[in-house]
Amino acid sequence: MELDLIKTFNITEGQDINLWIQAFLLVVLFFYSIFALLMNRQISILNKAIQTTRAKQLSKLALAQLISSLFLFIIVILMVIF
Amino acid sequence: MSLDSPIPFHFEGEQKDEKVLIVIRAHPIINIGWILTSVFLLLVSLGMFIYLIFSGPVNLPFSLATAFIAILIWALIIVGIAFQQFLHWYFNLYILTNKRIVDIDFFGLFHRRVSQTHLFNIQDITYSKAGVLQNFLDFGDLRLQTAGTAPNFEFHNIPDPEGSQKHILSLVEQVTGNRFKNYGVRSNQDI
Repeated sequence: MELDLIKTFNITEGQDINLWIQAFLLVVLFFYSIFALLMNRQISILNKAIQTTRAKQLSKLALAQLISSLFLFIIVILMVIF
Repeated sequence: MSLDSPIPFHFEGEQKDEKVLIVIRAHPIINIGWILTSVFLLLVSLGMFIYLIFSGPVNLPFSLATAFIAILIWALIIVGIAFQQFLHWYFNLYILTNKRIVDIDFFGLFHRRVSQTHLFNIQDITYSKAGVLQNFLDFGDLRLQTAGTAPNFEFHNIPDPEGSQKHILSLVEQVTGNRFKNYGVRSNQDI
């Protein structure tokens, strides 16, 4: 079943909605990357303050989150450029 | 539980001859709210992902690749918020050592509070279990009243508060050498 969202939302032809959405995603990813960086830093501080058995796993999870956000950021930039 | 059975746990500000005896966190059940919300939101994103793959042609105002990336970002944000909630639970600790009680509260990314009092200052320990869930899953609150103007300690939603009360009383007795029974220290239970 074909779903025609362009007609449904009455979007004017020619508008590059795709670019605007990608720009929005870039902004979201930018702020999220900052959040991931801060969380990474916070976990390292907390692991120094409280030495738990899960310190390494938590650090790896935070790092994976940061890398994922930066990876998606680069992907969206490449999508905008190309 | 005795002074001779420390657990391998260390924290900032720990003294050289100090041994960590008990580490208490809130009962894991209190995390059920954000866990269910996160799972639901992730399932929503998974549903959208599957719909885009297996549905017929969809006339979107943006490309399919953009839609997939948007769903991935959505899932990443949900995971990030869930992780933050987990850290909030994991790093909120109540630590009992052979010398003092330390209450570590983690409020946000860069906001934490550490409260401590010596075991000698503990005068009264009260626990409470209210409601069906707390009684069924055996978790509740523990309140430690300290001497003088020192602030009281409240441990919220800890597992087996009755057992923790007994452990703490036993340890305080060993450290202080007092016989709490003779001094009539109350052990109140809210039924």
